Amino acid sequence: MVALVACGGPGSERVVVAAGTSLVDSGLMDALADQYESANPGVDVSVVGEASAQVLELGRRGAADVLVTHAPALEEAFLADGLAELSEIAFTSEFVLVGPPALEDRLRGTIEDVLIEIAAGELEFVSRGDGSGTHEREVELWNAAGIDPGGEPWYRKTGQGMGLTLIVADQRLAITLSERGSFVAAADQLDLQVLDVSAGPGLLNPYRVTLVVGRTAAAADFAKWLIDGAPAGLSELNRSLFDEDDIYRPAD
Amino acid sequence: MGFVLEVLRDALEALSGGLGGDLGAVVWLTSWIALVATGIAVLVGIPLGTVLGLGEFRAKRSITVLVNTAMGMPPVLAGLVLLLLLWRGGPFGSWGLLFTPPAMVLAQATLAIPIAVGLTAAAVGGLPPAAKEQLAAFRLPRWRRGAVAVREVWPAVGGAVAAAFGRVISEVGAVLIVGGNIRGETRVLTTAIVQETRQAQFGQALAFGFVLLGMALVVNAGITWLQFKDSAQ
Amino acid sequence: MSALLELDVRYPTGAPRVDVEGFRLAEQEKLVLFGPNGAGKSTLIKVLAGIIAQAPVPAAAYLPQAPWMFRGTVRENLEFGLSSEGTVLARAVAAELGLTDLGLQARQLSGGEAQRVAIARVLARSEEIVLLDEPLAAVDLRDRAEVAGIIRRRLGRRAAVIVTHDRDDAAILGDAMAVMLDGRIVQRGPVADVFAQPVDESVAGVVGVANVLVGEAAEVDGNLVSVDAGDLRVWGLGEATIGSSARAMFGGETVTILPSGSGVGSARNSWTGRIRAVRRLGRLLEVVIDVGHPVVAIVTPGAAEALDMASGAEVVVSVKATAVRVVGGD
Repeated sequence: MVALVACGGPGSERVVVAAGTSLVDSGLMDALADQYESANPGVDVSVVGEASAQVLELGRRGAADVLVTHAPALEEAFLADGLAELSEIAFTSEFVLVGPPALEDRLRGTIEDVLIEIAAGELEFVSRGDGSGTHEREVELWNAAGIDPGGEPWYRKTGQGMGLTLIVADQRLAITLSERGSFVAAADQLDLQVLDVSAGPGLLNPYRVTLVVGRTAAAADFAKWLIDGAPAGLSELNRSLFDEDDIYRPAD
Repeated sequence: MGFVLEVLRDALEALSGGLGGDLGAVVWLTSWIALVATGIAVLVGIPLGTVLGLGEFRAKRSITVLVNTAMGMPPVLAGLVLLLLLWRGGPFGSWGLLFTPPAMVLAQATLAIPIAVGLTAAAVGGLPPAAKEQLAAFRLPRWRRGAVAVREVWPAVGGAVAAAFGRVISEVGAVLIVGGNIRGETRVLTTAIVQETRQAQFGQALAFGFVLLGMALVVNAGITWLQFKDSAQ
Repeated sequence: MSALLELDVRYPTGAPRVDVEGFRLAEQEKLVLFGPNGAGKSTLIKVLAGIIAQAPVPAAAYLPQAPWMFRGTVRENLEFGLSSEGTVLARAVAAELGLTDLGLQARQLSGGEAQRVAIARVLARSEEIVLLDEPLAAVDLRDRAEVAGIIRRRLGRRAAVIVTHDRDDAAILGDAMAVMLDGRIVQRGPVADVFAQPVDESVAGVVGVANVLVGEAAEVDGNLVSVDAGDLRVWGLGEATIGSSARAMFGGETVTILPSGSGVGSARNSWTGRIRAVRRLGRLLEVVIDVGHPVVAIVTPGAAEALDMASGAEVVVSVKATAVRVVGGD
């Protein structure tokens, strides 16, 4: 997974961007890379999709130039080690709890209430379980609800990216936490529905763009564009990718 | 070098911690899934391979081409096709097999059967003409004729079994797609390696890799030992 | 007698090719297919065995030219494809052929031993027709007559086609003989007739010219046995039970022709007779002498001139007893 195949033409400059699988599975990251490449013909942007923990590890080992993550606690440690030359929250989306339509009425309310109901009813829940930003957030939400689902028979970990985890949840008639964009991208193949959980700060999903220290000028330029230039075009991308307006929004 | 040595040390540490927790469950699941899949490949593939290798029929050549192609079938393609078949609402969705070990057995057997068929057919078909002629002269029932032929070339058929086992135990694409890598349920050594690598747990990943190699080694050593024992007679 | 087998075998694409019209095998007939390598004998017998699917053929017991020993013991190899009565018979034949340790790995047998296993298992089969392709090829020369005798006896009343290119084997195993050349049967008849009277030079070149006298073993003297064929007593080397049927065989080139009245007593086999025919046989002459039974001699033209051979001339015919082979028949 760490090995990458160079794919640019001769003389083109290569920038490796590692991003959480949510962003890659939703299609946003490739769309952004395409946009940047068409504006900068000499640059070849390679997108690697990994869980946020692995994205940061790739940055730590120098295998990636620009990182896009959504795991605040892990990001903090990375920044504390002085590994970032530039790091800012660039845009946000939100997390949604999705499940089979049959559970729609039963599972509504605040996120805490819904999680407590899932645990009490031993409703099957599929977790990423992979050190991704989504998984980190899910663990935080369970903690906030005062539940430790680890080891429960109804709680399953795939250890896979968002797309496959959604498929597993769909096929097993189970519930999962997903980043909205990844879910919308796959929704028409799935029977899952967004559960009516009242949004709150706990479901906000901020994406952080980080430029690893000591990278090329091209990498720095791409990182700056992600932070400053890209957010303005998000609503247009939302429409073309998902036919919806506000999946991804510029950071405040 | 420092990095590699560090990972190696982590791997050895994970191994010396015994097969506790995850590792034990993963090794157990990996073993029985691969063994059942190989068993199915043996039961289905060796008879079919014998028919293909010994038989004289018009479609023999085209079937041989198909089997040889299937031997190199990309595992992820096999996984995808099975996923579509087992998809809830799909043709066999009502069986409820998707993301369960039986689905993984199916996926692995799908990959292993062509290998068992192809290598058995090649081995049996490669019997010297004198042996084939003598076999025909015995006028045995068809199944007995096949059994004698397989026994005659059994070291090569044993090699086919080892190859089938090696293919299924080292395969990741198909079992990931139809198994889902669910911890404690459908996580096997190969998908665990992918998983641990993704989470930058390289030591743990390498430990799983060593176990995988070890299992392949044991099976191949067993078959090789039997082959040598036989040829020493 | 009705034919067990009657078919045309046309196999033009075979290597070697075969083109035999009206191949026929009668009940109880033991037919030897005789000919040089590459004449199509094996191809023909494979067609008869159904190995080459060229014509519909009845089921037959078939011994391939190169019998294969499969993995496993001699016993397992002996019993492949046999009924339970068949296995008992196979073991009896094997014992008669000198195979005792049936627990050995069959692969470790010598060529001759493996051939004996193959002979035993084919003779123990129940089919009414037995096809043997060079059954004695791998058997030591000194054991051949004995093994051939066992085959002959164990064939019993079954019909058989036996491929061979050995004159002795042909004489022991066959009643009738078909000579194959270049894919065709060029002569067919009783074994003795074919040997004594090849239809043309090419057949003579293949079979050699041999005398086969069929009679009864009369007397034993040391390692010599005599066979009485009509009025003629022939001495030769071999084994036969006195009073039982036996054959004496000798090649035409071993026959010496002497002027009438010369030393009759010096050889055991000395007979007086008249020359019936003199034929050219390539550079040699074939002389048929009637000594109460036709005897064929092959002589050089020079010798013939010296003797002033002519049809009707009286001569003395002599054959050394050591040049004559005697075998017990059925």
